Amino acid sequence: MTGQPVPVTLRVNGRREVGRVEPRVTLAEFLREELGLTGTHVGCEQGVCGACTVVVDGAAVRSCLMFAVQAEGCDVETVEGLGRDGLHPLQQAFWDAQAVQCGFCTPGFLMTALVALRERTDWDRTALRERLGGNLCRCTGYEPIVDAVLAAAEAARNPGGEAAR
Amino acid sequence: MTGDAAAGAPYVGRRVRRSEDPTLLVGRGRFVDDVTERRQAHVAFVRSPIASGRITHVDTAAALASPEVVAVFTAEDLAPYCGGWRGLLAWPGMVAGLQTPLAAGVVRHVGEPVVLVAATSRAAAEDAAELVVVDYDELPPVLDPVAALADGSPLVHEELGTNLCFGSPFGSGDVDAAFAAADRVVEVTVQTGRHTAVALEMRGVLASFDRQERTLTVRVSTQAPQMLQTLYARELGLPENSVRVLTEHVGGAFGMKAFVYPDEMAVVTAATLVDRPLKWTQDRYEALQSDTQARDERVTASLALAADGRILGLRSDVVSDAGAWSMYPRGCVTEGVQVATIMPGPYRVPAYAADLRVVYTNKTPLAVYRAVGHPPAILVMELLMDEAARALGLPADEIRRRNLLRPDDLPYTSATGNVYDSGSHLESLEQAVVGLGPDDLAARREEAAGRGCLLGVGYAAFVELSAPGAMFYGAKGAPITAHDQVEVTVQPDGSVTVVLGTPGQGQGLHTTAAQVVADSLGVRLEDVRVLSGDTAVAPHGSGVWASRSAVVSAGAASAAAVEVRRRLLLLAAHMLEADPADLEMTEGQVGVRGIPSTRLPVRDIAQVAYWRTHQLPPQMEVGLGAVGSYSGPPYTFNNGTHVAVVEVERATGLVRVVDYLVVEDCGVLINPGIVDGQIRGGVTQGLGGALLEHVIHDEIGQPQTSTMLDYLVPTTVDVPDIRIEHIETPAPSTSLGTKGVGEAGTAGAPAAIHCAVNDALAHGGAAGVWRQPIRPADVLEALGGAATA
Amino acid sequence: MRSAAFDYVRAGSVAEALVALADDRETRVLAGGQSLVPMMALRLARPEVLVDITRCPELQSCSLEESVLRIGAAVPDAVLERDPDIRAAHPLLVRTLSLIAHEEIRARGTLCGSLAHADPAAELPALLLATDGEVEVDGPGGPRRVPAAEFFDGPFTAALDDGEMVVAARLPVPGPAVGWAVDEIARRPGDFALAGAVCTVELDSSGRCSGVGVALFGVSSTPVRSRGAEEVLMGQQVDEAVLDAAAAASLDGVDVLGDEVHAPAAYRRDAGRALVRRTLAAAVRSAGGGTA
Repeated sequence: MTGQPVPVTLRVNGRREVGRVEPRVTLAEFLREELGLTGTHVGCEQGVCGACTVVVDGAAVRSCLMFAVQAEGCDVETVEGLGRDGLHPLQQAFWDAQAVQCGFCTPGFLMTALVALRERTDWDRTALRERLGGNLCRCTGYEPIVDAVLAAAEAARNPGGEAAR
Repeated sequence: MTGDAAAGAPYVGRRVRRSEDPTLLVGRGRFVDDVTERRQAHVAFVRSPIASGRITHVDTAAALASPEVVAVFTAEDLAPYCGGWRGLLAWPGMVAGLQTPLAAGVVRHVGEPVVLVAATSRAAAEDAAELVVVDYDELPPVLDPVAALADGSPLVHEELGTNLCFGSPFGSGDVDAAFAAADRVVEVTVQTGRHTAVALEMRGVLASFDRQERTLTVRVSTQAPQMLQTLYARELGLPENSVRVLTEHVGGAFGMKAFVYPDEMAVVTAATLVDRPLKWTQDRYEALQSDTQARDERVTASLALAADGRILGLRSDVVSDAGAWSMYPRGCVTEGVQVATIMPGPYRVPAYAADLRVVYTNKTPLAVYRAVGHPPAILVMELLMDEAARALGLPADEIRRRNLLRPDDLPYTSATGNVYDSGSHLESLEQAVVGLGPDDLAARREEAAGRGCLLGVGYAAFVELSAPGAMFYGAKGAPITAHDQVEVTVQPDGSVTVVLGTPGQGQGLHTTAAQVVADSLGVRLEDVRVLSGDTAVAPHGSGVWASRSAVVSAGAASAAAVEVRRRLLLLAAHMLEADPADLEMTEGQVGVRGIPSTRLPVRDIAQVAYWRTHQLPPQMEVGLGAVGSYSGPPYTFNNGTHVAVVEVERATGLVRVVDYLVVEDCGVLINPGIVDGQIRGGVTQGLGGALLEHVIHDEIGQPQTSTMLDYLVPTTVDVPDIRIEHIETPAPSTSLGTKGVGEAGTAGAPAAIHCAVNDALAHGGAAGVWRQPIRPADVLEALGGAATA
Repeated sequence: MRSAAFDYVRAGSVAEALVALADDRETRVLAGGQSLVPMMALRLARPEVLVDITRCPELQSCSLEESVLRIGAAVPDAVLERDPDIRAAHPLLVRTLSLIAHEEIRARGTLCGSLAHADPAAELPALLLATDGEVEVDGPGGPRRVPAAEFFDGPFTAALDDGEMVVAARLPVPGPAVGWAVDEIARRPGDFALAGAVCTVELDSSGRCSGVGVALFGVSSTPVRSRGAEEVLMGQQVDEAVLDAAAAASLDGVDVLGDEVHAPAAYRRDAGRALVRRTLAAAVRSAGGGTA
């Protein structure tokens, strides 16, 4: 019969995970259903909304557009891996800026922003808006999200500075 | 930023961080699909692929034969257990068909659920759904609501004998005389595009039934859990106390999740028939075909004016495309009614006549969506004001200035009977004009022209009806209350538990309620924990709708806290041997006014109240919990003025919003950050409506916008930073002076942006655009098809 | 929204992939999957065997050979965008990539996958066409090269036979004297284009146009060369009037799409011509031309 489960081994938030999944199971579904990491949300299943964004081998990607078997041997980071000892600076910045309303899009934004800030911390507002353009939020109007990421960038540039406190 | 104000200063008015956020930020939110029950089976639906037709044959044998299938249900299977409902409200002459969980015999829009398949996984359920054979006799669909009213049109509901769901005049005053006396009459005909909410969390249900206890537990993504509790009980013949509805995190709703959906009811009914929990998580394709839609309004309106620009009278003709069903229990006419009745807005309109017709068509049902009816109403009125300004040679702000309500006009009763008891109608415009910036518009227009762009400025002055009372739905026969209850309990250690009747679901209600309780009780904010979302233990709440929480839920929270404070002070008075009237309580400490040495922590009082009641007189009331209730006034109107500045690119017709200013008056602000968040999010949805969002059907009623690649919502790049200024005119009629604000952004934005586009076009010598969303193609057409730039 | 069941083959080499693709069942190549997986979720595509080629070592590299950039089929767009050698060698490619969807899509999406998918509104097929690139294909009949002009058969239809796969794209690198521009009109940044254009222009020492390539995307059922615009420009001293004429002629002979959800046909024509005007002007400027 077509589509029998196959083994998959990957690292998620630094931990080795082994599973058996049908090839048609997406990475998002694997994280949520097999590993119970429900912080990764699925909002469109077409790669448009960005709610399911996770980091695979350092790149922010859509976990709804990737089958779990494709992540064989990969290093996956999800929102649950951020700030396991208290809030990650990005999470703290989101909290401070009231960048969360319903919170459904938030994990995707955090993962996109995480990679954006690893790339560089000198984002200007316009460039950052473009960089975050693949993540949709229906509640906040985006401005506080942009504020939060810029504040986190500022804190990363000046670890001892005002924004870091 | 975290609100470290001086000790004793009130929490209301401070931008404290939201208590809801840490859980959501670390990915531990509990949205419906995040919760798993043992042995849960997954549901997929077979949905109608056509807009209109008769079901001639259903064959489920192949699906049932699949080893992974748990159950398959058709309309016939569920009919004995759930007979269906009519989305009928007591509007005179309104008609509505009988809706059932699964389509019975007839399908009336693409996406209507026909067969429910439950299997061991969602993928298996979808596989099995493909094996179900449904044969249809296709019928000619009804798609144009105007043509639908003509004799001989096919009927959406044969049994009703008409496609007219509801028709009514609204207004007052001698309109004919006003138009006869007018120096100028201007008219606009506008069509607003069909929208849908696109809550990022799609709808979902996880339902289980205990056959021995005969208790039903439904975890559902909804705005109104108690309403669903009532309706599940009623539909399934269960006592209401045997139905438990759970709502933890909700990923956006915007009015769309305030209904009994056929698919959800099918899952709940099926769960009572199979011996395992059933979960259905909607996918986006289903959402764009089955979530309620909105805004599909065709309006022709005219304004009679004196030579000096004073409004003498207003006429409007409104045709509202209701789609296939009047969704229960809010029905499908609220939007049309509000388009007609809100239209006069913040202006002195002495005479008004509206004619409303709400019409059934073979489309997904139209219902309430953020700012219900306000966006088209305000859009039409503001377009009329701009046309009047052009006709009379007045600036856009000046014609508004001459007609906006002034302080000495208040309280004012509009021509449709709405009473505005307070507000800053003219003041908000004046502040917006100042906020637009120094008077360098001509230079900005010239600079834009150098880049091939036309710059335009648009104003929208508006009022928004918030926190409506029982006259709105209850009086019309719908099981929707207007009041809320909140329970406040002081625990033995002095910490405070607040249980809200209305669940928090993204707007920050837990935080605002905590601020109100902390102030009303006199405790520290960090000692207050707020819970909500379980109808088995929460007191009653009407849910999140019509910008009511900051008025009604907060009012109930305050009422409960005031009662608990009264009890604490009685106990404290006994303990301190003082007169209760001499006591004050702040930051969780009770003391005798003027005697700083008498500080009694709430904790000490609570310990006596719980454990050492023997120290108290026998009659003394010791319970430190109380349920507060509040229903608020019949409604309260907030008001404001928006200003949008847009650039229209001549070569491509693309519109960019480059500046946006909101002057808002929603009375007392509980948490300015949360209020601003509501406004920004609201403006963003309004911007979507003005420029992007549109549910499109082809000529046979097939939706053309079934993924988020085609139904366009605004992105980070489409939305500018939004400047927000507040005027605080406390509501005289609400207990905290608050007015609702959740929808105000959405109410004003489509008009401000549209007026700005038309202003830009006027500066390019072109006539305006008269539809929304304003597509680049509409702009180019208005500009006469600029081929090159 | 779940894909229909399929078997998954992780090919370790092109040879292995070709064996897997020779299966009697319906097979599809999976590279980035950013176009295929959404179609599978909607069950509009339902391969029975999915052949993952991303682990084939010979598809993971790029090379510059005699002014041709050869890009392996497993190289994600984002890797190309960041590669300093590619940024230096082919800035037009890098600029074109930046117009595609969003960073998170480009992180997995591949150039060759976009070519094979043959979406008429996609950017990369038009780039290949404007620059006279080629597609390297391998299959049961052995390796072959297909010129861009012969590769895009129709909407979402590339000239691939059963069992064949794209192994690389060959993009001629515009010389230093070649001016270029690429742009598109979309409802929102990152959306598929309502109209898009890729232009290369070469001017001789007297400012005469000695070479030109204009390809349009999003306006017809396949990417198309704008022969009308090219003919107007070729050999001409480029000035405003010539650019106007080129734009006016840019859709001559182009079968413009009919009315659809996001734009009526008339808009595509008007906006398409305006876009050609704008991109040509920019290309001429970058070629050192003085006009516009």
